[in-house]
Amino acid sequence: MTVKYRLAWLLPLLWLSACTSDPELPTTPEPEPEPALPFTTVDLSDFSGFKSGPENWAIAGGAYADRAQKLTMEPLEGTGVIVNTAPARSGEHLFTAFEHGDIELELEVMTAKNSNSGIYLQGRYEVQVFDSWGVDTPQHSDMGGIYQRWDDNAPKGERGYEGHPPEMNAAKAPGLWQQVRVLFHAPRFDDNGQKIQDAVFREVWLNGIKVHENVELTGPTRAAPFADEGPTGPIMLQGDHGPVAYRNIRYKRYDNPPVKLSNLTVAQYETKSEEIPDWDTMQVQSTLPVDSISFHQAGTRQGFLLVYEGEMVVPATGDYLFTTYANRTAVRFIVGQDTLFERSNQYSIDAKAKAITELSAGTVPFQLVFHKPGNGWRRGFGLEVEGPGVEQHALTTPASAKQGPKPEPIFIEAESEAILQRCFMLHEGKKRTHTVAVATPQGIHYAYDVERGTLLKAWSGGFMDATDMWHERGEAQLGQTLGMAITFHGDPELYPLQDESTPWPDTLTAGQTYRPEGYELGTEGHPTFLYEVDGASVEVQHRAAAGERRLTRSLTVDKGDGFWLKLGDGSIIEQLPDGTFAINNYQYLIDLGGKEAVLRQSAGQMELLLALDPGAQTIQYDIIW
Amino acid sequence: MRAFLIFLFCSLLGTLFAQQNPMSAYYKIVDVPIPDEVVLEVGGLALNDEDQLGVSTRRGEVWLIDRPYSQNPDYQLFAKGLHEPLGLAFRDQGFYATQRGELTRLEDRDGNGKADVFRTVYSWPLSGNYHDYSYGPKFLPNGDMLVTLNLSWIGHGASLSKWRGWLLKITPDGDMEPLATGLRSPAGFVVNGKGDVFYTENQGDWVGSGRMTHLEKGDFAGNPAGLRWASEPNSPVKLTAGSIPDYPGMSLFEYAKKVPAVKAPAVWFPHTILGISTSDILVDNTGGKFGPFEGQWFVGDQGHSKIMRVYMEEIDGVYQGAAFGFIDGFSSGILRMIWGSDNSMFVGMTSRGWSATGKAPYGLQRLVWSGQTPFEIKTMQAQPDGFLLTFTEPVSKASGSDPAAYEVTSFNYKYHKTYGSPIVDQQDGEVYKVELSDDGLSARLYIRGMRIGFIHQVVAEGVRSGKGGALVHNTGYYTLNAVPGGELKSAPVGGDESGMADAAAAKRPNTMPSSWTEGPEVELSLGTQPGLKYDETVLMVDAGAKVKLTFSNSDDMLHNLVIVKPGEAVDKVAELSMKLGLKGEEMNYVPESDLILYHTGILQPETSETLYFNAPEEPGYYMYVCTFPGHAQVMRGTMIVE
Repeated sequence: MTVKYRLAWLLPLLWLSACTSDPELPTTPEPEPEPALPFTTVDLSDFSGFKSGPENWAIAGGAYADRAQKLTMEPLEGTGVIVNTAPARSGEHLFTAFEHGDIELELEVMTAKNSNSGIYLQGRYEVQVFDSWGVDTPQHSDMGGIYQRWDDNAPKGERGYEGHPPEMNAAKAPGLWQQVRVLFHAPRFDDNGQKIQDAVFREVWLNGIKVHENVELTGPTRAAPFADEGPTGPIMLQGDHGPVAYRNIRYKRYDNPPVKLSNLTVAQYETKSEEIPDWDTMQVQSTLPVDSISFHQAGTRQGFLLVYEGEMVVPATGDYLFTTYANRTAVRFIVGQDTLFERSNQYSIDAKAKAITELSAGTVPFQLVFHKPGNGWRRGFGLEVEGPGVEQHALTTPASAKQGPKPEPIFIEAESEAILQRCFMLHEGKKRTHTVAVATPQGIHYAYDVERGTLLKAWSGGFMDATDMWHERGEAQLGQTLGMAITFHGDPELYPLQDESTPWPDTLTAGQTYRPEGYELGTEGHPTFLYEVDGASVEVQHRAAAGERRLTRSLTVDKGDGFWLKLGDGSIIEQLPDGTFAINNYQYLIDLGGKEAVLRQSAGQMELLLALDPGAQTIQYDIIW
Repeated sequence: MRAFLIFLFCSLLGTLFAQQNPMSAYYKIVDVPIPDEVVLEVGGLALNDEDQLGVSTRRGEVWLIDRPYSQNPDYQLFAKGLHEPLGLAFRDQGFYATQRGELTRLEDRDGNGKADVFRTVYSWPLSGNYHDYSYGPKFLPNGDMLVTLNLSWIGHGASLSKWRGWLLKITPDGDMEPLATGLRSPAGFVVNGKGDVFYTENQGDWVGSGRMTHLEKGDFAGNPAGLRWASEPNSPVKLTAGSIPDYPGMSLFEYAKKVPAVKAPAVWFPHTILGISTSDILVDNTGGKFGPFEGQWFVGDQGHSKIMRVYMEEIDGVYQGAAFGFIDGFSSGILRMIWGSDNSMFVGMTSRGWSATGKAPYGLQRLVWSGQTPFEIKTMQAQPDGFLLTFTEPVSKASGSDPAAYEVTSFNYKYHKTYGSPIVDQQDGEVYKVELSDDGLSARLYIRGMRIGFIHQVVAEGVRSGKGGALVHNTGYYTLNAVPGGELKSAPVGGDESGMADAAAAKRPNTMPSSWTEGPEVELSLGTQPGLKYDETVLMVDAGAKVKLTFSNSDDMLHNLVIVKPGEAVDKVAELSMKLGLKGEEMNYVPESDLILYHTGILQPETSETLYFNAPEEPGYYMYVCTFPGHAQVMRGTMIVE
């Protein structure tokens, strides 16, 4: 379940690609399974992974929470999911059998309406799980917050302290699976057992949004079962505050020290040759012992070859994942006898290459070559490593890959009338050049592609960051959504599908005609998009509901004969007992209001399609997340 | 006595100011106030039928300005959310705007002062490349619209999506017909009184210098990137992509004679002398209410924040004419010019991402005629053996009829894929006889050494008005494509090419001295950033150190690096570099001066040059500067020698 994290991984890169965009260069690579070190998955076919249970907890294959019914969740047949079935104010917590110090944890959680749970790192530090659907300004007690600490002895009203609300409300509706990712560092103690460093939530992500960064905890949060702090502790899942379900719990513990470099020297050569030259025949400009690897050691912007040689001090035997990125610089990396990278200088800084190799504990010699014949303005390179129990860290200095300073951001805010802004927008890694982004006064925003006639994304909260469009030349021209966005299929929404086996096209096919006709603004400034496809006139409107994340779409077609509407696609689409469809493995819901839709398998995924009636009609449906 | 002193003082001040902007006595530049919160990066200008000024901005807004002629205009937001609309027009009670990806009609149907209909008239594909700018619309006499599409930029111009580099005709119903290609950066174009279409081009790859070309259906104007679409079924351009060799080895005029689809320019604007990024064109149809240049053409420049003037004529169906300087000193980079209802000229400007001599990031000004007529060369017409000049006031008989008061030289630009072109084939001509009319208003120059297909610089430096004044602009550049009667009768001169100035190699040391046996002591590298900047504004070296300095131009404009002495030297060198005239290009815009220590040449985009030199012995704050015209005021840094 890593699709959403690719989005998160892209977010910091989108800004970088704005600075270094060059359409000739391969920049952000196609989303593809890339090398990664495996997580340890908690087996949820029974309770062997837990110290406690089952009690109020049950093993299930899934869970159903009617988002209209308070505190109600029904476990479904099967295994792989744990569900807390106890009503609020009763029930036991669940503790993992393993204990952890530094850890990278990923899991999915489903809440019921008004429900409350929590994920306690080391059993002591809580990331709040709560039904915060529709909350405007989240508190520490909302979904994704770091819960406050509590002092019974303090005067009333001052007992709660040091709670951290999430950066924004990224909580989804009850009944949907939500993705949580935590990078946590345990407190450090000296030889006498005195704490010398607080526990830190380095990063907390909810549904692809980073909601916390570097939050230090002075002590256990409220209702933690441990009053003390220690180097390790179990994960605790709170079970006494209402129905909740968890699945896909996996982690990497980081108990080992980082990889270090020793006996490091760097030799520098001057060269403009396109390929990495054989430096044995060249005159060396300098050879120096150094204590770090950095782009800035070259002392010049281009025309150089840096050859680093030394030893890597490997803390533990196992698989090591190396990541490199370099701005128009070739990279060759040899560890022991293996060449891990032999990469040309054609890439910009946001294209990362990864390689995995097995290393034994101890020292191993390495050679790292950086070759930059030209393009002096594009600078920087980096090399990172992750290993067994070894958290990912850089082997180059922080300054080595640093790009220029960020410009002052230019934001577009939502107003009391709908705001529209045309822009380029990334959809699944590709630029959609005829995008109209719309901010509604209800705080739900969406982006519609007028070149293809399809909805691209929906999000809530802040509207748009237009810096990439309006700073200097605006090379990226990308409108950046602010906040948690849901991505839709992006294919033309209407198509005269001939039969079950015809795949749905992702653009206009040969023989079709499509004519965008613009939009007209109505009440509150909401746009009605107009277009003609294959002789049918289409009007598309969107309305948002205040207080919950619901986008209502209505399409009015004058000649529906033969047309189908594509509602959604994804790895899994399921119809819930209340009739709504959970799309793309429970990323969002579609409520067709009772209309009959067709589910089909096509091109390796599931699609939800609706056949149009002949003649004129208006189709309306809701998207909820 | 005191009154006399005040008078003297004021006239001295006046002279001083006039020297800085000699046209200011005749044409005033007046600010149109802009509210602080409005980012008026002008993309398009159009008056509606209530004499309100519509302004489309690069941030996608359309403002309606009431009382734009006053000092307290009222701004109303008419529309927003468009995608960088770089042109605006008003017709049939609605606006038309060209966005990056479509031509849009804006209407206010419910009459509340805000657009509520955004109708897509015609939409074209985009590649996602930021350089795919789209301009227009302007109207043909029959009510159809014209739109031009800029090339994409990938280190050089390319046509990454359909019709980039083309002139398109679009009917109000949205039917599109492609008309011509070969365009590179067609930010300005116009339809003249006869319904003929002209567009301006910017110096760049395949374009030796700024110029204006008459476009007819089926024409190819020079840059081959757009030929990618010439084989489309509805393309009238009968040239195939790849049929233009990278180095044809001749001028565009000669190439156009060889290949029928190729259209040579009507008017060239010598680079850095008459601008660096030609933009909008405005024909003076004010009936004489904007001064003496009725019927002539004004052409704006984005990079140099100035306006040039063109006298255009048509000889046997071929358009050609003379370009003169007109007025400098606008507040930002000029993109759009239109007439106000009071016969003043609205000038809309922006310099975001494309730095201009006018430092403001955006601006809106009016150019107002004072009613006083400047003493200028009014018209310049080609003759089979010379030129016929007319003046705005009578010239003195002594100066006007003296051949020594005039100088002529002709030159050309290469037509090739390289960015820009040096001045080539320059040859001085000879004015051997001048016939001045009795009223002193016209001078018939008889010239040896005129050449068809060349640009002729005519300098009337010695000419004085009857009252003894000098011309405000004494130089005109005439693009000679044809002569009346079809036959050139100007005798050739003896192939006397003006010598190329040799760059003093001592100040441009590109190889490491052999005496540096241990190599350089200091290695520096310097690059560029968009917006006329070096990427380092401070370099530090020890006095006397052996320095190796590599300058890399990673911008998409031309730059150089000139290291000068401390103090005011940088300003003096900047001033000198603007006065190099036609020789500037071959001198890499580096003047001859003791104030200059070392310099590189002009670097093409994505190239670099290395200098090896000893840092000065004397510690101090030495400056380095790019002396490419228009850059020297901002593109600077300090080399600290200690």
